[in-house]
Formats: sequence, structure tokens, C-alpha cells
Amino acid sequence: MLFDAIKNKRSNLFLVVILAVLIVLPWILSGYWTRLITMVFMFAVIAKAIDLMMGYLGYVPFGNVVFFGLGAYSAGIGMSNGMPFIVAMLLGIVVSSLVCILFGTPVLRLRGHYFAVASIGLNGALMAIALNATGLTGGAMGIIFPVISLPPDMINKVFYFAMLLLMLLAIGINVLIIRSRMGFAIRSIKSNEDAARSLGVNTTFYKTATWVISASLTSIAGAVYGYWMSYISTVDVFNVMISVTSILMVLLGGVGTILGPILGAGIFQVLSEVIWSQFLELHSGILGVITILVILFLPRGVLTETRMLIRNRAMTKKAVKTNE
Amino acid sequence: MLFEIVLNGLLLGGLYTLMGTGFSLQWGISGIINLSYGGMMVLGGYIAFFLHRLINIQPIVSIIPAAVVLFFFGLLVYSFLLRPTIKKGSFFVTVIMTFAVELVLENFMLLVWASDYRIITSPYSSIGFDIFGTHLPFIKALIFLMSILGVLLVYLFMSKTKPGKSIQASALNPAGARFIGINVEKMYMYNYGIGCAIAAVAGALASNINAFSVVLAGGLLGKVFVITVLGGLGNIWGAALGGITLGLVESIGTITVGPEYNEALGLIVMVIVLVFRPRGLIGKKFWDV
Amino acid sequence: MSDVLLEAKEISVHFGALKAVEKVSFQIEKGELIGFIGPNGAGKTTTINLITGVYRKTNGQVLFQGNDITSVTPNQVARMGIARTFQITKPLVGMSVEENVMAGALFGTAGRGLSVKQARQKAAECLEMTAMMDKRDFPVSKLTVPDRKRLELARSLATDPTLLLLDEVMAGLRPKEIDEALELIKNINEKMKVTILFIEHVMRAVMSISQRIIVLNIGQKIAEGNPREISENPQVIEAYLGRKYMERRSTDGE
Repeated sequence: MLFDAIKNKRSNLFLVVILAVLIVLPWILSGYWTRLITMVFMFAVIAKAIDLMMGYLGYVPFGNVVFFGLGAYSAGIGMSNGMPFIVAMLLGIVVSSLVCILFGTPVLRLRGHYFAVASIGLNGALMAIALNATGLTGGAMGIIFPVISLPPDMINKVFYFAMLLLMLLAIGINVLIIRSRMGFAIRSIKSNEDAARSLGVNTTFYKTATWVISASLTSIAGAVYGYWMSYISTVDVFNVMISVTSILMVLLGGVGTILGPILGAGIFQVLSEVIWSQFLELHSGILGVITILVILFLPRGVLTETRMLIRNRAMTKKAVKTNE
Repeated sequence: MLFEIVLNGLLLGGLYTLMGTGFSLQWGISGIINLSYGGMMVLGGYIAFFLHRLINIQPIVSIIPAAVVLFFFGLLVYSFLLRPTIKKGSFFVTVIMTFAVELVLENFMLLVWASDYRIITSPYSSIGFDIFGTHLPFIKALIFLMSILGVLLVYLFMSKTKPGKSIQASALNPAGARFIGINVEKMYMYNYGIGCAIAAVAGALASNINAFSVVLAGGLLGKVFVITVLGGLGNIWGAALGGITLGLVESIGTITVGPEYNEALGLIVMVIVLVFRPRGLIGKKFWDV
Repeated sequence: MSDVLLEAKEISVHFGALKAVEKVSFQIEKGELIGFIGPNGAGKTTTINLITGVYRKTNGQVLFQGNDITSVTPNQVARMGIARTFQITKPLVGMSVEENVMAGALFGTAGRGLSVKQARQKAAECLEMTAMMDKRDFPVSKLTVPDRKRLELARSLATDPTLLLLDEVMAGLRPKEIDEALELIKNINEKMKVTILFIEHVMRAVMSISQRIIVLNIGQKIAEGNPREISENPQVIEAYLGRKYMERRSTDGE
């Protein structure tokens, strides 16, 4: 049920073709479109990270953006102190993981409701800390990243591929987890936590571990984003709208599927661009209406609904055939 | 000085208790984390403000139409948007639905009223009296009393009247309630409407002492999270404890580090409570979620 | 060398003023097949919940293989070798029958070293034993009640338990299915050498295969002995059929 497109040779070929196209795109498209698609990749990562919690574990981290912020700020602060980017990025992962372990253990033990609210609170609290620890974080002034001495065209391409790579990493991790022991643990926790425990699954450990992976991916995205933009401030990178819209992307594309969140990110970004350019003052309203429509009419997301539609059509065709 | 802090904290706490009650009812009984609660409060404030402005109703009286409008708005939202979503299964998707409602609501209010700050001023805005060396504005005391009255009314309604008890029964034991003829679905709907009405009242009351604007909706939601988590879920006494605690925290914060830190302080306290005592300071749940 | 596998020492579980289990003590030896009976509400499931760590607040002690497991968490208890089934079955919804049993294999006592492939093989063995092999790709939602019970059993077997606690596994089964279940339980006990404590209301099941029976009523142990002794025990009869019946029996001169 979960192994989408990785299953047969024809799908594999299809994916390779898409990958080849993606690699070539930055040389074909303008800078504007390259940046747009880079954003899609980034949101795809954030959405996939959220889907790890939402689709597989069944917990919705509304405040997951906190790791985006932690990643961005760790990278910024690290680089301001002379660290190379990779090290600063790793610092972000360590910080995010620590936060997960510290807060995950008590809060994940509770039901999902509390977790959802707690994650929002966590984001707000850390954002406020970042805002006020002016010595470390520059407060409301934000942080400036070291300038990259490359022509803008090259910069676009570099970050395009960085985000693409990150997205592929997210997909890879997703596939690995599903097929592994951890995948079984996560799925059984989502199915029936009591039963899972009675079988020997250490639910607290696996819930926290999943969150750590989710947080780390998000953190890397934040770090790369910071470096890309060259400037970050608390309002940008701790903005709860980032994780909430990512949740929408997951819903839109299909919860619990490998490609769903990516599809959702793509559709969402394109829609967003269109709406922004045409109806600026109606932006959030239209977003709200789209969400309502998706939830009411496409509850399982575009990917899963399309699949079901195809499957149903195939089954009715078969039934008609056997009746003839 | 201490007296001033405590007094302000308590006065604020009254309003916060009312806020928390509505949200808590929706979460604890209807099982919905209503992310549009902040927006509804602001809408309540706008309705009260404009009624006062246009028809010159006494601001306190203008609360009633605000509550009525939002009660019916809540019924509509529940029937058409929330109930179908709940039927489809996922709790979280329902929460996201309330977020979508908030987006639409905020956009609507922005279009109609823009983001300028408003505040209701009225004949009694400037009256006050001095107690123990502190100046106590009459309006704050009035709002405190009205908040407490509101909470009391809700409590009495829920525990002494038939519709109220039906709602409680629907939450505690849906199957049993259905068995004795209660239309459980309708009860959840009315409960949601009541929660929205309470939000409107709290918003309308608050608009008399605080400048408000659509921009504040998110922050209000944050506050109500803090109140609910501090006090524990679905429990009026919890809302009171949470409300007063937040009121005091903010009061202390305003005097010591400045009012800009209040939101952060509230959230930090909430996170601390969640880590060490996730069920809230009371630790008891009257309505199981 | 003690053969005592599980020992309950004066265990009590109180929920507020309700004394669900009150000072119950018993021992179970390796390889035994023990029936656990009592009227509804006697505290049998509560006792199992205590043993398996679902409840951890208690006076008294639970010892497993000599170790105090009173405050051990459910997943650790499972790891130590105690498996259980639930009165109302708890299948892992959204996963297939095979995946359910694999979960048991992956996280049970021998789980740590097992690969997913090996777990699948283990699951196959357990499914064979419970005659569920042909349904292994079924989603859980498609299963009938007896199949769910079989799944629950297969799943707990996959954890390689030393002690198996069954909670009303026969509820809702038809007579033929009960006979099959009895065969299965006996096999598990004799061939797989698993010690079993089973809660049951179906009397003929308990009487026919138990080596020993423990009886609870209103939270307290009222009798313990072999099936014959239990069926003739006046307190047991009174617990099930009431005092009036007892009195009528004695006035009838039995």
C-alpha cells in the first residue's frame, strides 16, 4: 500500500526521466522560475518532514517550523563565527535534535492534541527567545550570512541543486524507513499504540526518533534557506505559516505517500504565485477556501484520490468485462 | 506596587477565564481545537464597536448582538464545514479546517475594516476610583464583573439546565446519550455555537479596554492556548486557574520587563507546564478527550 | 532451582475507592496451563493489566523469573517474554494480517536481531499454526471475529513468549471454533512449551484443558485447585450462581 512509484520498471524509468529533466531545467528556465522551483523543492522537504509525523505516526506538528528557524539561526550564528557552512548546518541538526529529545519525551507521551498545541507553543517560545537574545541572534535585526562571491546566475543554480539534493535525501530516508524495522514500529504506533506496546515496541523512543529525523530535515532546509537568502530574521524563519502551509501541502498532495507532499508543494507554490500576482488582498482568503474545498472534496489528497479513481475505473471495467 | 500587580492580574484573569471557557468547551466537548477562536473574538469586538458607533447602543449592551451573530455563525460553520470533516475521520484535518475558516475570516475582516486599531470609548471609559493607592478604572472592574458573570452563566447553563446537561451527557457518553433520545450531533453543534458566542463576548468586552485589530487574532489564539494548557482541558475551574495565572504572569511581566514580552512569557510558561505537568496545573479532567 | 515463572504477591489495584483487585497472591510454574475465572468484574483483566505493566501503581509485587516487574513498562514486559491478547481484540488497523504478525516478531523477545525478511518467515510459521496463512494479505478490516482472535494469538506467538496471557479468547466463538481454539492452546502449551494463563468464561473450555484453576470474585482470590475441586467448591458456585442457589442446593440435601 505504501510503496508508490518505486515498484515496477516502468515507473522507475518514468522517474529517471523526470529526474533528468529536473537536472537540465536551470539552464532552460529563467532565474525567476529556477528560484520558484527551488522553493518548491524546499517546501517539499518541509512537507515530507511533516508527513513523517503526520502520515506515518499520526501526530501533527503544527509548530515544526521551529526547526526551520533553529537550523537557519544555527547556520547564521555558526557562520558569523567562522564555521564553514557544512559544520554550521550540522550544528543546526544537533540543536534541533536536542530540542526534540528534550520536549519530545514528555510531550509525545500524551495524545496528539496536546502535541499539536505544544509544538505551536514551542515555536512561539523559541521565536521569542531568538528575538530577545540580541547578543547572540541580533534580535529584531536578524542575521546576515557571509556573501557568496558568485554571479547571481550561478547562485540560483547552486541552491537549486542543493535543495534538489535535499529533497532526494528526504525521499531516500522516507523509503528506507518504510521498509525497515522502524517503519513497522511507526505504523503500528499509528494503528494502535496500546497493541504496539504490548508487542514490545518502545513507543516513546520511536516517536521521538521520528521527530528527530523530521526536525533534522527541516533544520537543514532552514540552514540552506538562510545561506541562500543571505539574511534571516525571526519573523521569516519562525513563521508558523510555514509549517501550517506545509501541512496543507501534505493534505493536498496525499498524506502518507512518498510523492504526495512533493506534488502538494508543487501545486501549492504555483497556485500561490498565481494568486499573489492577481489577487494580493484576497491571498489568505483564497488559501482558506482552497483548503476547505480540498478537505471536503479531496480528503485524501490529489495523489491518493487520483489513484483510487483509476483503480475504481479499472475495477468497473473488469466487472463489465466479466459480465459480457 | 504588589497590590497593583495582583489587582491587575486578577482583573485580567477574569476576562481570560471567560476566553478560556469558550475555547475549552469547544475542545473538551465538541472535540475541536478551534484555530479560528482568535478571529471570532476580534469579530465580536468589531460588531460591538460598530453597533456602538452606528446606532449608539451602550457598549456593554452591544455584546448581545455580537454573541448572537457569532452563535449562529458557529452553528453554520459546524454544520457545513466541521461536521462533514469529523465524519471523514481525522481529528487533525478538522483542526486544519478551523484554520481555513480563520484565514477566510481574517481576510474578510481585513477587506471590510482594514487593519487599523479600534477601541471603544464610552462615557464610563474615564471614570475610575482609587483603592489603596492604585487607580482602578471603572471599566476594568465592570468588565471583570461581566466576565465572571458570563462564566457563571455558562456554568449554570451547563450544569443546571436541560440543554446544558444534554450537552455534557453527549460528551461524557455519546452512546448512552443517544440511547436516551438526545440528539448528540445537535448538542455538539450547539456547544460549538456557544463557544463562538463566548468568544464574541470576550472580544466585545476586551474591545472596551484594549485597542484591537485583525492583526491581533493570532496572538489571542496563542493566549487562549496558554490558558487552556495551564488549566487543563474542558474544565471551567481549569479555565479559571489558567486565566488567572496568565493574568498574573502578564501583570508581573508588564511591570518588570515590559508588555512586549507578554506573549513570549505566556508561551514559555505554557511550554514549561507542558513538559512537567502536561495535564495542566489542576491535573484533572472533567470531560475526557 | 525454582520452577516458579510468575509470582503475584498480595497485589492490589485500586481506582480511587474501587478495589478492583485486593491482596491477590498466586504462583505459576513453568509449563503450566492455568485457567483464570470469576464472574464479570472480578478483576481478572485488571490483574493481567498489572502483570503486563499497563497499570503500575500497586501495593504488592509481581515477580517474573525471580525479577520484580511491578513497575516495568508494557513494552519492556513484552521484551522480557510475557505476551498477552486483549479481550476486545486490538489488531493493527491499516496493516495486513502478515504485517501484524511481523510486528510481533520484530519487537518481541528475539526481535532485536531479526531482519524484516526473517520476521516474515517467523510470521509465516505463526500464521501456519493458527491456520491464517491463506489470509495473510488480508487487511484487518476484512477479518471475521474468530479470525481476529486467531490473528491476536498468532501475533503474540510471534514475540516468542515464555508466558502467554489470554483474555477471553473464546468469546464469540461457535462450538466448533471453541474446540479448534482448545486444540491450539494445548499445542502451544505442550509443543511450544509456553506457559499459559487464560481468562475464560466458557466453562467447558476451562474445565477441559486447565491443569489448575484460579478463581477471583470481587477482586479477591476465593479458590485455587484442579478442575474437579473448583467445580465442587461451594464458594465458587455461590460466586457464579448466587447465595440463593447455594441455599437451595443445601436444603435439597446434596
